Amino acid sequence: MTPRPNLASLVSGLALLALGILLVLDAQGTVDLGFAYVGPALLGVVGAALLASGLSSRRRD
Amino acid sequence: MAPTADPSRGALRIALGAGLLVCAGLLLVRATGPWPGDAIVWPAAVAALGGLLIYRSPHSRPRARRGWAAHRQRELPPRRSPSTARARGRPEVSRGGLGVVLVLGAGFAFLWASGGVRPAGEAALAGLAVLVALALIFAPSWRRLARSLAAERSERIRSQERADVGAHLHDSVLQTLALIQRDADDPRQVATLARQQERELRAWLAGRDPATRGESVTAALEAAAAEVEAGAGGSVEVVAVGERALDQRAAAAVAAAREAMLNAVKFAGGSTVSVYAELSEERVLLFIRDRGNGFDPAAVLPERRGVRESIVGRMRRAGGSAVVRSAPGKGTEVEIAIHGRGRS
Amino acid sequence: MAGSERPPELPELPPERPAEHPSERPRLVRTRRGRLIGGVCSGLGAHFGVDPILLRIAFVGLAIFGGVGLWLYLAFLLLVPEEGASAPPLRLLRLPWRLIAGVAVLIAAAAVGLPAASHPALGSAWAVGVVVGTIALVGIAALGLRMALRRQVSAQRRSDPDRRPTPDQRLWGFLALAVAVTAGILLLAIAGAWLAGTEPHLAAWAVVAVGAALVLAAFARARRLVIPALAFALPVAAVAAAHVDLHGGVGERTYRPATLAQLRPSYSLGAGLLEVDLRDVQLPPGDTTLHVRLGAGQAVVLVSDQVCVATHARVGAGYVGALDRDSGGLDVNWVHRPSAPKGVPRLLLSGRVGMGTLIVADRPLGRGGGFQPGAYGTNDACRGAFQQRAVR
Repeated sequence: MTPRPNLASLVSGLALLALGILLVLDAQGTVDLGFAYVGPALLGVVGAALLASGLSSRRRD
Repeated sequence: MAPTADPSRGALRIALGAGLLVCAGLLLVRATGPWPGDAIVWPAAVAALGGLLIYRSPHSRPRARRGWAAHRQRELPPRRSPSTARARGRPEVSRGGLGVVLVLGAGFAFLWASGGVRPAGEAALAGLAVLVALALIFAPSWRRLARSLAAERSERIRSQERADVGAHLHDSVLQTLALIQRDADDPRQVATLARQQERELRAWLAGRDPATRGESVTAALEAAAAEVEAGAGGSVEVVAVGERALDQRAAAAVAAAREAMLNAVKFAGGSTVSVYAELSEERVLLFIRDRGNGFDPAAVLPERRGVRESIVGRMRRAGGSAVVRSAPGKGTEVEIAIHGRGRS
Repeated sequence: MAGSERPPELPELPPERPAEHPSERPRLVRTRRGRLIGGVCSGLGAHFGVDPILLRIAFVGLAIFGGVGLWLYLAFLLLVPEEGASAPPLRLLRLPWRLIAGVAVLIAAAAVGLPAASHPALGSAWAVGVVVGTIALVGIAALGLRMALRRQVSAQRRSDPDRRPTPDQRLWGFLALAVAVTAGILLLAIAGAWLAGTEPHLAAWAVVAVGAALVLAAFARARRLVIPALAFALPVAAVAAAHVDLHGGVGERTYRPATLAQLRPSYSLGAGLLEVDLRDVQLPPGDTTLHVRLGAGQAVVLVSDQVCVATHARVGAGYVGALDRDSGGLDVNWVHRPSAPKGVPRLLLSGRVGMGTLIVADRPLGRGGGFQPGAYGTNDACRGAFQQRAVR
């Protein structure tokens, strides 16, 4: 039985994975990122991390 | 992200995280799809947040709880909660107040951004005039309605207070009188019982319920057990797991348990009565078990107030529950439960 | 049980009072009760008989206006002993000379090294290295302080199990931890930003790797890796979004070509201050193209009044001010292309700044560098203001 993974790390990791892939595409030139898209992406990553951390600490009660 | 047992800290992070995600979504829509304009969307988002805070503030929602006892116990708290919060050392920002400020601020920001402050002011004055007129017209009927509501509530409180007095009299005085009749041949026991009951009734009349002596539920349970042993004989054994401070609801549970202990000692023959308590901040579970003759719960006549009213009814009024399980020859178990925190 | 009396009520204890002569002022200590941060204001207040709140207002006021308040508070924190302690945290008379010498050397090295690091002769990595080294040293020192404090506290607890750490120990422990964590986050952020500015491909794959590592760590129940991962990855994303190119070096560069022959077609810098002064150059009539590239910082192009300037500015995040117009914000792509009358030279300026400002002015910005559109040139050459002069 695998132990339950830490939610905050899992969600943050997945979000960073997505962000990283976006950055790779930008570095290759496939997409051209500007703050119009990176801004929401950054906020989304931080928001998801906070949400996951709050949920996991509440679930531990 | 250090672990914390305080759910309110996780709630702050959840709120922040959700807020950031909503902002991210809005910004994404701003970059890609149709966008009503900054002056509309951001004030609307702030107003929505304010509305959410108002909706979830503890004062606006009517507390629907089981039983009238919860209402009676809540007559005082609204005045007491700000002081307890300050005593805890953390400033308690009223959620509803913050929500109102946010909504007003958002409305003002929108008006200022779209240049409509003056016409809005005039419209507000007109609306205010209409409201004042309506208030003048409907004031008498409002006042009548409020007065009748207050009268009804005080009548409800009074009748429930009467039920409580009746239950207490049954627990204490009637029980003692029954015990006295049973032990009428033992004058020393009769005197002891009478003296104990007199002391207890005086204390209760003076406003001090003896079941709330001491600070912890375990101490109160043990005191109740000792009183039952001293008064009715037999032996009562208390085992408690966990701890909880003695608050109003737990005190009601202890009083009900005491009544169950008395019943068990009276009707259980000579066997030991065992009381098992599971205590925590979220829950109080009391089991009073005896290995006596048992009885058939379905055959108990409704006139016998003993079990039904004073234990089950008392627990229901305190916002908890009591279940009596028994079968002839198999003994009896009374389970008393309270869920939730103390003074809520 | 029956008939026993309730235990008598305990008499109330009188409030604590220091056993001192009533006419003597209490010794100046940083009190424990009533302390907000370090007990400085409450201690001073108790010693001089002043309300601590007034002192707090005074300290905050001094801190805002000039920063003196902070240094004063720090001095009191280090030089005044805590209540119950026998000596202040900084025992000036008993500091080991090696420690003082080491700190002096470090400060001297920083004072000399940091400005020198931006010299054009050195590569850009050198400046970054110096900054990173300083932050790393501060962080390590803070960690060392915290470990020493913990050893002290556990030694205390071994000799007296009921003894809890004093408020001072808690305060210094917390400060040391905060400094160490901040240093760590700064290091990671600088590393991420630097990598993204110099090797964008590598940085992007690094973010992917960090994300994957975090997912794996989640199953190994690791908890505290989220903040370092974010501290590295978020600056990478920001730098990539702003298209910051840090390849050209770091520091202050000023170019002042004297003739048209010396004018380069493009000037670039990685990070810092880039100044291109064209006031001495006689631009030919017609269009002259100039490229100015800056990763992060401020780029200033100085032109003479007789030149009409057309600007195409791309700023990832920042501000562009060109003579009498300006713009700013995020993802700025701004074009101002006035046409010049016949015979008037026109400069086609193509400016790219990742994060920072692009300024076109007719003279250098003063100290405090506030640019106001119209205050540093008006681009009148585009409207033929100097045409008579050219004809004559």
